[in-house]
This record gives sequence, C-alpha cells and structure tokens, in this order.
Amino acid sequence: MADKILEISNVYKRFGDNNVLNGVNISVEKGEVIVILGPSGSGKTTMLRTINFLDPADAGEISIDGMTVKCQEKNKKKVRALRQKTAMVFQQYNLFRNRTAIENVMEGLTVVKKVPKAEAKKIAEAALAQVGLSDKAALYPAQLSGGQQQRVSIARALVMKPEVILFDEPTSALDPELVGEVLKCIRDVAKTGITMIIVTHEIAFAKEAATRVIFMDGGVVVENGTPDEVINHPKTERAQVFLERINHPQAV
Amino acid sequence: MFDQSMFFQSFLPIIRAMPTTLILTVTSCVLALLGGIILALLMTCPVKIIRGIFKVVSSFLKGIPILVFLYVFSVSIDSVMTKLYALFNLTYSNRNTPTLQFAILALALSYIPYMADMILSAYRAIPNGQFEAAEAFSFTKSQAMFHIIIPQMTVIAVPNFGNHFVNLLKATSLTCMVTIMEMMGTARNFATMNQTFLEAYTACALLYWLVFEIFERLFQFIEKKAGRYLQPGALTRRRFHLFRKPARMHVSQKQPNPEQAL
Repeated sequence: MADKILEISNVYKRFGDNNVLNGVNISVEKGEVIVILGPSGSGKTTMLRTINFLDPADAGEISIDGMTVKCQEKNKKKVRALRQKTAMVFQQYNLFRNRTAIENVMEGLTVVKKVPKAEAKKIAEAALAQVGLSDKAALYPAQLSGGQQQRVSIARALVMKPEVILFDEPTSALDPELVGEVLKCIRDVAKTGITMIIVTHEIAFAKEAATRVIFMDGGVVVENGTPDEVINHPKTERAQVFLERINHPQAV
Repeated sequence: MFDQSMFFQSFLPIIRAMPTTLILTVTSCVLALLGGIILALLMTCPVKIIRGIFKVVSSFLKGIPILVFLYVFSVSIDSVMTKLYALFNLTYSNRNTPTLQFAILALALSYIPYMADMILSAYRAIPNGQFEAAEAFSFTKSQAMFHIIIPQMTVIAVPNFGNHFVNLLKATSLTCMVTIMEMMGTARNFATMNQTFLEAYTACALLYWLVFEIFERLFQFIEKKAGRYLQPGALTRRRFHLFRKPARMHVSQKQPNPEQAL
C-alpha cells in the first residue's frame, strides 16, 4: 500500500455570497497523478489554491506528509512550513521577470532553502536539462515562448523537492502548438514518481497520464476514480453532460 | 545688440557655479526619494486615518509652488536656527546662515509627493502573479520584496525618476531668489555687473541644456541596461529604431531587379 501524502478534508470557501467550495474531501497517495476536471466555476482552481494557502479556505483541514494545518490557521510560519511541501505551476507561468531562466529555478533554493549558490546552480542546471531547456538558461522569461516559460516553471517547481506539485491549468494560456511540449514535459516528470495534482481541460492527457481522475462540480467532488471510470463511464448525469460536450464539441 | 565676446565671457563664471547646481539637485533628489519612500509607505498604511492624513499632506506639498517654499524657508531660517541652537545651549550667529541647506530642504519637500507617487505607481505596475509566485514558493514578505518586487519596481521607476531629476535640476534655478549663487544666480550677477543680460542668460541656457542632456542620456542608458528583461529581444534593440526606416525597405532597394539582371 502506498502512503497517504495529501489529505484535504471538509474544505469550505466562499467569495462574498458565492460558495465556491462546499466541503471538498480528497485524499492522495504518494506517486499518484491526479487530474481534476470540471466545468468553469466548479472550484477546481480555488481548491488547488487552498492547498498551498494562496487562497486560505474558510473551514477545513489540509494535511500534507503528516503535517496537518487548519485552514483558518493564521500562523504564517506553520502555513509556510506546509507550503514548502508543495510547489505550484501557474496558468500564466508567473516566472520572476527580473531573473533569467536558470536564476528563476535557483531563486527558491537560494532564498527559501538557503542552498549555497554554486550548489543551487548545479541543481538548476540539471532541472533545466530535465525539461530540455539547457540552452535557454541565460534568457529572460520575456525572451522565451509560452511553452518554454511553462517548462522553466516546472523546473522551478521540481528543484524545491516538493511532496506534491500543483498544476493550475498549465496549458490553458498556451498556443495549441505549444501545448504538446508542456504536456510531454509533465508526463516525463510524472514518470519520476512525484505526486501531482493537475487541473486541466486536456481530456486526452487525463486519460493517458492520470492515475486517478476527479470530477468537480458546484464546489464538491462529484466523481472520483480511474480515468476509464470517470471519463468513459461517468456515473452522474452532470459529468456525463460535461464530458459529452468536451468529447463531441460539434454536438453542442 | 548681442555682444559675442561678452557671451563667451559669461561661460566661465557660470561653469564655476555648476557644482552648486549639482549639489542642490543631487542632494535634494536623494532626500526627496527617501522622503518619498516614507510617504509612500504612510499613504498605503493599513490604518485608514494615517493613510488619509498623508494623502492630504501629499496634496498640500504638491499644491505649493517651489518659490513659495523657498521664500517661506528663507525668512524663517534665522528664527528656526536660533531655536535649534538654543536647544543645545549654543548661540546662533546669522553670519553663516545655512541657506543652501534650507534651499535643499525646500526643493526636496516639494518633490517628495512626486517621488511617493512614482513609487506607488511602480508598485502597482507589478503583475499580481509575481507576488503569488513568490508566495507559493514560500518566500516571506520581505524576501519577496527584496528579491523580486523592489528590483522590478526600480526598473519601472527609472524613466519617471529621470524626469523628476531633470525637473529638479531646472527647479534649482529658482534658488537664486534666496541668494544662492548657483548657475542662474551667477548668470544674473554677471549680467547685472556688465549690463549684458541677453548674453549671460543665453550662455546660462546653453549650459543648463548641456547638463540636462548629460543626465538625460545617463538615465536612458540606465533604463536600457536595467530594463532589458522586460521586453523580448530588447537586448539588442534600441528604442529610436522605431523612427528609422524599416530594415526591410533597405533590403528590397538593394536587391537587384531580377528582370534587369537577366
């Protein structure tokens, strides 16, 4: 049996009058690649952002690698300690604009983990090589394509040695041509056995790379199972309608 | 009548007064920047009342002409200094009045709100994603500020800062009204002594322009160096290329007409 690495229990979140999360429970085992699907407004991204407290939830508990933190926790040190067990890849990449590709990868190591510069550089070089961008190390984000920026941001997440990497629609801001290179990169990283939670609309990718698919709607988990169960044989009507539309867009 | 020899003779005394102008500009600019940082922090203070008070302060400082500041300061130097010296049980003699220091203070004070605005707009210009990325990677607030946000703010603020600097440079000419012998004051003195106003003022104008140009170029250089990461391909591109003929046209003109070549 694999170990439980992440547990989200009874997470509630509201923005004003809008109840975005209505008691989400997810538990993730080490090495799982979880893809979260769902219509927009279903709370996928918010759920991801509550895990690392970018948007702290109003109620519930997050527990990663044996460390449990209540969502209302105000103690910044505790939150930061939990956060260090995660790394995030953003939809808009959010690379540090004033840093080159390699400096972006090094930044978290040198600033947060206090790794000596020379050592951080070696680690960063290896990570850039892993995402196939060794030759772009000295370029600034503005000089890279969207796909390259996203790969750098994956490398930046990898070097932090997180227990779980959170991907927030990593390919949604990309040109269709560039989606492939980023998905390949994510797939390669997934093979290394790191735990991942990916919010995406790429159904084909979910089918092939995910170990488990979660379908969310209305701020709750509606379906939770293997890619085949959820995507090909959804039990709930809501998931059936959504997947029908995505699989056969012309039918709309 | 334009006396050419008097025109050229005017240069030397005005050039000799340049250091005073530069001291006035640089020190008041640095002071204004420091004050601006503090004012910017106060204007974004979480406490609403403090924020409100300093927004009024900012508007007050902006609304007053520099010359008024200079006059108010110069007429109050003696009484302020006497009181200040009395605090330390010293007697103040008005034979070496710190006019220059007061002028610097007046200039700085009138530029503090502009510096604060510059800092605030630079802060607001930074995309939210930069803050979020730093936060998601467990940076503390101060780590995020010093490693990510402030370096980016600096780059955004450079063009604005350059503008304020050269405006201050020109504003220093007003200090001649409170007896400071910087470039303008010296030019006026020289002109009065020799009754060659147009010559001296023209020379003065040219020298101001020269100093302005030096700083303008300096700031452009800094802007280009510092901001190269903000634009794709900016490492080799210069802004004024926009105003040149597109390179493609040159190529097509140089290419021989294939029909003629045959």
